[in-house]
Amino acid sequence: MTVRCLIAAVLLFAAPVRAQGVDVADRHFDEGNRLFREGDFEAAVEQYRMAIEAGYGSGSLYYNMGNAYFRMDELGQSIRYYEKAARWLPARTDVAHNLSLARGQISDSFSRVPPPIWRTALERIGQVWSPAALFTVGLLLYLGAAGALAMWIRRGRSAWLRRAAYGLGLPGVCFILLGLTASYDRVHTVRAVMLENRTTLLDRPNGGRTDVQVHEGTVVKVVTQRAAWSEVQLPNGTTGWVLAGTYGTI
Amino acid sequence: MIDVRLAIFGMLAFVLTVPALAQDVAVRGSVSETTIGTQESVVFSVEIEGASLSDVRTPSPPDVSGLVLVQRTPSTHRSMTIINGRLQQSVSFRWTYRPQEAGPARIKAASVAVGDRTYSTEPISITVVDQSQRPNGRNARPQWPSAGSSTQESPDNAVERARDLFIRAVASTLEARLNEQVTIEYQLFFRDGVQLRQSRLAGSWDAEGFWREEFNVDSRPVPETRVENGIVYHMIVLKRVAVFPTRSGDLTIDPLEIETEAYVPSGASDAFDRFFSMRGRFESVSLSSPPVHLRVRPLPDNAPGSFSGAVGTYAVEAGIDESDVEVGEPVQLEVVVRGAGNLATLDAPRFQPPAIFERYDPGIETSIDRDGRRIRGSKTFRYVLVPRSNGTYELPPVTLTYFDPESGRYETSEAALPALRVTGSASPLAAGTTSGGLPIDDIAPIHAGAASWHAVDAPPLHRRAWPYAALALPIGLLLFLYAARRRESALTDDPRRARSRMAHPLAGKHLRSAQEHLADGRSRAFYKEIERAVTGFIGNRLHVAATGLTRNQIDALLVSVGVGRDDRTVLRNLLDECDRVRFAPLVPERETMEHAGERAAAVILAVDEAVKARRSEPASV
Repeated sequence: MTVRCLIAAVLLFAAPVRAQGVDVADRHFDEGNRLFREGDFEAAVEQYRMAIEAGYGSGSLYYNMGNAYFRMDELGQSIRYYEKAARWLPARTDVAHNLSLARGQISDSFSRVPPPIWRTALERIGQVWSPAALFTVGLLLYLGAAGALAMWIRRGRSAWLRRAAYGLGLPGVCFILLGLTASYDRVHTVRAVMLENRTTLLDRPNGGRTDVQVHEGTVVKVVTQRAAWSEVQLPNGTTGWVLAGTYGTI
Repeated sequence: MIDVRLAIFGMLAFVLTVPALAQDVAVRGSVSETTIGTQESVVFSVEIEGASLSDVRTPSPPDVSGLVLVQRTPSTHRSMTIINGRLQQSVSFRWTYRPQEAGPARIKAASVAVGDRTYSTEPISITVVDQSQRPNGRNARPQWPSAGSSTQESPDNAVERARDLFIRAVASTLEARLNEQVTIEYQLFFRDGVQLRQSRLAGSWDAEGFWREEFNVDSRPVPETRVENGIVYHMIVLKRVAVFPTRSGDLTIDPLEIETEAYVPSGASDAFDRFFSMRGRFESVSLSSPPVHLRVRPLPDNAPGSFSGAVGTYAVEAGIDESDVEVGEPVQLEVVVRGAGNLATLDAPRFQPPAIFERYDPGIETSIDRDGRRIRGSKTFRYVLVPRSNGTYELPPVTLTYFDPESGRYETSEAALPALRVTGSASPLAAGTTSGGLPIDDIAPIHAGAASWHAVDAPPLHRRAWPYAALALPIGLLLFLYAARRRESALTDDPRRARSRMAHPLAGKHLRSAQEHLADGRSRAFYKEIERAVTGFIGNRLHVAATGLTRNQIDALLVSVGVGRDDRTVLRNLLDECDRVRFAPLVPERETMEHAGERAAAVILAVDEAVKARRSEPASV
């Protein structure tokens, strides 16, 4: 009885807190959209930022931020937020369209080191499915397989039930593993967008300049972070050190 | 282009060897040479231009040091020239001096009275060297190499030629900011009697690290008269160019080189004679200006965010051709930037119309004024704006931030725009969109609907507990189901064990039911449940049919499992009491019934312990 009361109290307390935070985010989102339509893109970005500071984000919010930065000719930031939006809205054609348009304005054109097959497959799947979606589909299949197995245990050994358990369980486990792997990969593979017009890579933190320069909007991989310096890897595999403030993580 | 201009210069120099045009009275003192040998002489001239000849009084020779005046009375030369329809008169007085000895000499200022005013010339320094250091046959005259010696020119001749004819590069400044205009003027200096023809640019003039804009220079120049180190020269401008540094650091502008055919009369004693001398020949010569070295500093660091590299002085004007339009009807926005600076590379001023406007790339028109000494003009940006929604819109101002080198500050020029009223209703876009309705050359519009929010600080999926709980729960349930199934199977296959496991629950159930009957005062039902609890427990525990057992059969069974006599007696008495109450009109006391319940529980415990003790005996043996 006491436990039930405690759970009820937590639910009663937590639900309004979340609703209040979402309301604040909604309000800033709508205000940002209004300012965007009036052409005040800087103020619109500020409102979108306040929505994030309220503790909530969304694919549409990131997408609109990307549009505002694009209108402000801040190519790096626009690509950064389009990439963020693409994570949450992988199937939206307008997100892909705007990201493609912004990428077309990048002055860098690095050759791309062929990634491993598994990574290519994971990236392609990730362009359509989010980790949560992959896991959810896998979980539903897994529960279906578990139900079939339960009936098989309770009602006797039916070949049909056994086939159903295998047929649902194997793809379910695959989806679940994909979802968890994609989630792990997103956390441990830090991608970033260069924000400065031109950044020269250094051979070590605070070291000598290399002859490699990278321009605004180029997506790099952050390999190592050490105090104010980060080692980044360009799409062609070249690595070098830059100041952490010269890029924005996706 | 420059070849043509220089050729024209050459032809002009062929016929024009006249003094410079002057508007007011000008008095110049000059010498024929500033370096002479001990056996040579030097001619000092005072020339008065722009004054009526009758107003000029013959001046006295100036004081000198290290020199000796040959003749006190000067030779006088008068000339009248009509230039551009205006009459110019000039008169010059000349004295000849000889050096006393090798070393420095000096001609001090000469005073000339013109009307009621007195003018003075500048002092001139002369260097007297030993005659052996002078070119052979030289006698205080500028001398040109003799015919046929152009390819084997002696160093002395080269020195003399450089003194008679040279190009000077004059920069407006030698230290500039990035993208700040620096004007370089190339001036050709030549002395009296020097004639040029067939002039052309030699080599390629370049200014690496600079954006260049050429100024217009007069194609029929009138030479200016200049006195350089006491020697009179004529000067024309060959080329004037504005350079804008595109990077900082120490930069160099190449020399300007020309090849020409030059003629300098030899042996003549003065300019008049030199002009009409027929003793010289045209010789091919190359002339070169010195390179220009500039130090370029970067722009200050405190540039505003709107700064895009413009350097100079600018003003922005802007306007729209319509203030009331229909949806979809184009509006032309004209932005004009006027001022001085590098207009060719000037970026469009900052302008961000409201998002409902489609903005097309502007048409750009640049007009540059190349006269004077600063590149100035205007650059016009014509945008086409197409409103896609109705309403009244405040267009943001057009702003241009630039760095003003004169003030050393970043300045912003701003042009306000009027409000634009858009009427009508929006029609679907047919052209300029993809099959999916997305604009071809522009970004798709913002998302306006309700956002699907997620907590930004939420842990990623693989670090949350619920996915693993969701995976573990079905496994747990399946294990439980499997275990239950196994248990059911085991009980079905072993009735003795099943009954034994059911003995306690059933006995407990009957005893609880008996307690309820006790509470309700139903004695017969109470004793019936007591009897069923006891006999049922014994039957289940010992795996015999409880129904129909006699007292003796029960006693024998209990003996077989080792139940003690006292417990068996208690059981027998209890069962007898049950029979009495159930089948006789007897209502027992409540305490008696409670006692019967306690005895039943005690008997059940005693039987259970005895059975357990019997079952454990083989294991302990």
